[in-house]
Amino acid sequence: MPMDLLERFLRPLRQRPMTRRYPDEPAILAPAVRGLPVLDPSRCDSSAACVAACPTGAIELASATWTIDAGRCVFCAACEAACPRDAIRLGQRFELAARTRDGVRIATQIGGVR
Amino acid sequence: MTALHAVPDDPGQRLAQAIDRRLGRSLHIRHLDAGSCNGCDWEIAALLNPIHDVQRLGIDFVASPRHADLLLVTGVMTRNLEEAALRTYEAMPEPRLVVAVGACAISGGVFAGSYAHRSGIDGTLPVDVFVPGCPPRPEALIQGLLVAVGRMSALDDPGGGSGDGVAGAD
Repeated sequence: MPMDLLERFLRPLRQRPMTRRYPDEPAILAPAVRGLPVLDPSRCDSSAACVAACPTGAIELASATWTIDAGRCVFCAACEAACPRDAIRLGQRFELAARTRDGVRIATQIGGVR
Repeated sequence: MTALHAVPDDPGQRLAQAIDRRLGRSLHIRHLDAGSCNGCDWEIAALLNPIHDVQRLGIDFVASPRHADLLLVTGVMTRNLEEAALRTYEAMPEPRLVVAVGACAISGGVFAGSYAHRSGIDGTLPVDVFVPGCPPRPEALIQGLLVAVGRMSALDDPGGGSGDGVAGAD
């Protein structure tokens, strides 16, 4: 065990500072990080399954616009699971700060509505 | 980073500009829990750990609203805490900023619509920056704080806020 002890003493000397330099450098995100739900408009068939599945009512589907209210979203991925056409994916976008309440409502235009 | 514009119309931006000028872009924060589940509060606590270390950005937390430039509010704003929140805000010297942290502080989140709270702090305090998340990760909080002082651009800033993971600070 003495070598192990020596290793433990030397480890901090070799270690680099652990402070991350965000925002000067991009954030380091684990693969499991859930960001804003993103709709692929080409896959969406306006079934509104996501609207029904959302526990906080964060999703609105008007005629040709799909709106996610990041101020309500709890990033639970229920919409992703509910979508019958796999059109929704939770990305890793987390920089969502806005100066107005409407600023955190993020709209996506749906192309071919049926 | 989009430079601050000459005279923005938004009072929040004007205030941010004023603070920017007067305080040399440093920021003292008072954290206020207005009925949160403690998720957001733990993310805020993580700002002070060696990994995120907001003090490197001139941001620090203070123990009294009288020493604070910015009120960082988490939680749904329960009716019991409403008066305490107002008195905290009134105790702050001007110019002062309010940042709503997390889905609860913005809209009530999963608790929205209950009789016991205000479903967000917006009806009680004048919010300058909304930081979505449940909870927002520490980097999202850093972005929100830097938006509040005009060092990063928000989603709804003109020309700013593509926000697609690209750091917007200078």
